[in-house]
Amino acid sequence: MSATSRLGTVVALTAVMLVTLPAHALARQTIKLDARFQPDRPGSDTTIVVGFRISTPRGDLPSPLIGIDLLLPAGTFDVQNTLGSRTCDPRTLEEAGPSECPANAVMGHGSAVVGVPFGPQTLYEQTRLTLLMLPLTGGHTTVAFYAEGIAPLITQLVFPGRLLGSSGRFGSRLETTIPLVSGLPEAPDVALVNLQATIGPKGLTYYKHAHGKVIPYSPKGFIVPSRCPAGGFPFAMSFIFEDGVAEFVHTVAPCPRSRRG
Amino acid sequence: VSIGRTAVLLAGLVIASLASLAGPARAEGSFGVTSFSLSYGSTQAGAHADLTTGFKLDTNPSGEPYGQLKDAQVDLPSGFVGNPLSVPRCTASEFELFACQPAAQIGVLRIQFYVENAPPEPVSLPVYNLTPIGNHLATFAASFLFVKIAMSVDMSQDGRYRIEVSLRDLTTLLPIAGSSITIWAVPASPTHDRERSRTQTGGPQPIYGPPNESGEREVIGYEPTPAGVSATPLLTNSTDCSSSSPTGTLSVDSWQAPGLYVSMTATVPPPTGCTQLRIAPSIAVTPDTSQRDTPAGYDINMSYPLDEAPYDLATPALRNAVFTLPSGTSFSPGMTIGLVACSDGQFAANECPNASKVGSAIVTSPLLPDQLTGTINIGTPTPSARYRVFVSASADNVAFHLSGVAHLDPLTGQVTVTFDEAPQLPFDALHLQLFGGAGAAFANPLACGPATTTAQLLSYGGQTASTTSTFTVDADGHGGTCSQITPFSPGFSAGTISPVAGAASPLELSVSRGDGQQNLSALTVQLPPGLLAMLSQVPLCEEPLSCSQASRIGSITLGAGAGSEPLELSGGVYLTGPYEGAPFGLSIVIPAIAGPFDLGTITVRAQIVIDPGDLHLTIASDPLPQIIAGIPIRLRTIDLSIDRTGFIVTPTSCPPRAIDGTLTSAQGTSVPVSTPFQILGCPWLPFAPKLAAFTRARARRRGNGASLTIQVSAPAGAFADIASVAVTLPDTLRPRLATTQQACLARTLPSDPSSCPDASRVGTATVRTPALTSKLAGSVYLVYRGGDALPELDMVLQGGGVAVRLDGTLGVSKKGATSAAFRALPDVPISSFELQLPEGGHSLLGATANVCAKAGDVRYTIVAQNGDRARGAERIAVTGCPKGAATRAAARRRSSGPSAGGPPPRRAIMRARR
Repeated sequence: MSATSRLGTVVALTAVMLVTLPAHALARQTIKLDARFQPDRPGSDTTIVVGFRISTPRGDLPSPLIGIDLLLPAGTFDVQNTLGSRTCDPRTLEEAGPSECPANAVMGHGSAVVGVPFGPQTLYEQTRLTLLMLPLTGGHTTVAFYAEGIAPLITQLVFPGRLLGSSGRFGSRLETTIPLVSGLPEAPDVALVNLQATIGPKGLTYYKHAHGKVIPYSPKGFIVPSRCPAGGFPFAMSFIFEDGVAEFVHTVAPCPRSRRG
Repeated sequence: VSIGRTAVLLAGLVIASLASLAGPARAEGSFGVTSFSLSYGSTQAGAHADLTTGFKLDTNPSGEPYGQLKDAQVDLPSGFVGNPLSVPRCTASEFELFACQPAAQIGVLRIQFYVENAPPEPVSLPVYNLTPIGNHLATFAASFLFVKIAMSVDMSQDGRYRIEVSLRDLTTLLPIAGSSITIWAVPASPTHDRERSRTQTGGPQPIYGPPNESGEREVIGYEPTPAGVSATPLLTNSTDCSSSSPTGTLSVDSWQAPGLYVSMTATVPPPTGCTQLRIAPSIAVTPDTSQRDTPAGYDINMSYPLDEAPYDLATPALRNAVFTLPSGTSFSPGMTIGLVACSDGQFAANECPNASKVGSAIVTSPLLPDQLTGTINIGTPTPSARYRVFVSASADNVAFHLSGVAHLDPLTGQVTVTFDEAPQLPFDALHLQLFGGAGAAFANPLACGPATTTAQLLSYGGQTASTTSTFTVDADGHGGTCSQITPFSPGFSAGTISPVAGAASPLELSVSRGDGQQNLSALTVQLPPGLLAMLSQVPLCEEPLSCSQASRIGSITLGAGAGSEPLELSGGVYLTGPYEGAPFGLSIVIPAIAGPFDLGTITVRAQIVIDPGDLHLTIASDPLPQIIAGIPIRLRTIDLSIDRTGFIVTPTSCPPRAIDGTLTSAQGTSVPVSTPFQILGCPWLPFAPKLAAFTRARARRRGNGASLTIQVSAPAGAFADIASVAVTLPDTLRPRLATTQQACLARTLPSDPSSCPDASRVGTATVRTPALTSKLAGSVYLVYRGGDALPELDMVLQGGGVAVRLDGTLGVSKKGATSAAFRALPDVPISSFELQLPEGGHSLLGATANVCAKAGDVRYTIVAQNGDRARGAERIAVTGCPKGAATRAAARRRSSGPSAGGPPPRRAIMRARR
């Protein structure tokens, strides 16, 4: 299945769910999405900054997310291909964490808050996110989201994302599957409440060997589309929840001030 | 002075006066008996047949005996009986005056005196029934000139009840060469009218024929001399046709060798025709109280009518009697209090000790002028007969001995008393009165209603008869109606002698049951939490049980039997190893010595179940024996004292509690019982626990996580026990989600966490308590019961067969502090408690920082059973840190100040708060 047809399928499924799910389910959570390029100058090497927050009307935990797809504006390229110039072995990542992975595999950082139902209470676990390049899967660039928290519980969670091709209004798509986990057996699953992440060279230091020396350098990231569409760069994200609800949220990153000016 | 002695005296005078004429008798041969004969007029059993017996002494050719007869005694065959009371008696004075009436004649004595050169013609003399001389049953006598010949009739004392006819100190004036005597069976019978003497000195009145050629008139007959009284039987043949060869014995001695008896026996044909005999007995059994479940005196009256018609066959004598008392009537254990047994020798000698007496006996015989009165005694047990009953009665120099054996049904206790081989002394009434009162031999049935005694009787003639007697058991002895359901409301009390908290004290327990209530069968007692048995102090009695004093932990006394004075049986209580699935048990051993009866040993086993939750003890007995050696023990009281020094220790918490129990009756009714239990002085118990914590330098966030060991200890002695322990971990150690996910779901562990998957096994724990020899150890499982429950740290610790369930909770505060709490710990002294949460794939904890640099403190609150609290913080000791790491870390803490490096290490800070 091509990336285009896959995207079509996701959109179609989302539409079906929106039609078929009851109203109260649809209204259960509110998602606020924020995404942008940083820097946002067209054609520049950039870092994608994306974040979302899921809230519910009564302040309780939302249904756990089982999948998110991040749709980037059309024309967003990673052709320079220096981000994630090395890959991290998934097993190493599982067992030892990102510190044992090559520094050149790191593609971004971030944080997330997950709600962990833990007996009579919900623990809100602050986790630190590290995005790492994994070996290709099915010919697709694969990214690992490594989330690690130490308070109030010590948690590690790895979930993969695949970078897929462009389609229509949007360009590349990062399709992420989030495994369901629970804090206690048969307890409600851990729910992602908010997430902030960067994908790109910002804050990254890579290393290379040259002339027998280890030389640090900053990797190249995505390329901001050469033209900012009217209304700004469109970003979208689809959210699929454990309870079957799917949400499709889009946002627009304003065009660079210089261009508008 | 007997007639015989009078006769001898008179004979002596004759000898003195004629000595010069006759001279002393000479004896050239040896004194002896030539012949001895014995015959009856009929062999029909029970017939009243004349008896004829005679003898001749050895003589020289001239007919002179080899010695002068001094004494002679004839022992008649067993079963041959006489009734001298049926015949008119002649008084001694009448006899001396030769004035006995014809009605008193009972036969004819033919005696042959030796008179030199005289033909050996016997002299016929009428024999009269005299008023007995001395203590003899009867005295028969005949007279010849001045010579009186008295025959004393007695009954042998050898248990064979043979009639003995003896002649003592016979005359020397006229040496006796032989004699025969015929005793009429029915003296007044007209058939003897022509043999009956009209006067004592005359003999039958002859009828003379016409003068012969020489003018002499021959006696052609005798005039009838009627007795003038109605005919009644004097003699009765034996009614025992089973005797193959009845014998009689003659024993004689001479004046020349007094006391040197010569004997000869004579055999008579056995009785025949026993099938023609008849018996018609009846019994009446009456208790002195009809109240149920009460010691009662029993009157057993047996009527045994005798046919005394002169020409009928006599009633055969009773041979065997089997009395089966009512179902439910049993031996009363109270009877044995102070009871001693009568030996066979004592019984035979009529010298049974008074303390062996359980009743009185009266025997009525038409043969005897007076009733035979006596006692019922308990005989010395023998290997084949534990319960023996001796009935002895005497009167008129007649001793009646009846030996019986009581068979007690081993399952029901029903009493069957068998008397075999009763003396062939015809009696028409036997009254056995067994005493009542607290020491009664019998106790009434527990159940109300008719109570029937059955007597199975067998005569010597082979006749059998069954007869019954019924009385009604009631509620109160006055006809009160019994409730349909027998009540069961036993009393129960228990407690320690000392009410002081945390102290050693004997434990005493009493159970009681009133008369008329269902019998106790089983006992289960649940001690309150904290009332401990220091099981480690006692060497266990091992299987097979033969417990030594070292295993003894107390004593027990059972009160057995109905009535106001139950029999007390005492024994020991011994601690055993595992029993019936419980880790410990009791062996209660009670020697059942009841008076003269060694009933064996009562052994009752009991489980000691230790509750896995709060370690309270439950003692559950096996069914108590209801019957021992056939005696229903009708358990009335149980007094148990666990008094081994230091074995029982009181709780260290003082809320009102109870010692609960369940008492079960033999009928299966169970009633709960309870007695309040509260001890005092808990607030004064000191409390001094200590806590220490350890981890290892390789503690990590991921992988194998971090270990943590927490040790809690308490001093030995009279301290308050620990009720709960709560610890809060430092930020450096936190639970791992990867492990909490693997918690064991509660549905898999109703009681046994060991069924949880290995992934939920997060550690081990070890407890040492002075109460147990073995340490308790086991795995710690992370358990989740679902819903809003906190995950738990549950463990089943085992050792020495004891299993203890300890449940803790694992909490995480919203601020991230991890805590663990073990609440509701059993009120047990704990020498040490160690919880180990090791590293590993399923490590519960992980480290959030380098523990060598900063391990942090465990904050704790330990609450005592008496409410005291010990709070503090204990720095986690880290093992395996590289050298200098701690120093460097300390230096960093010092340089960064307390706010950056955390509080300085400190020992536990304990504050008591009540």
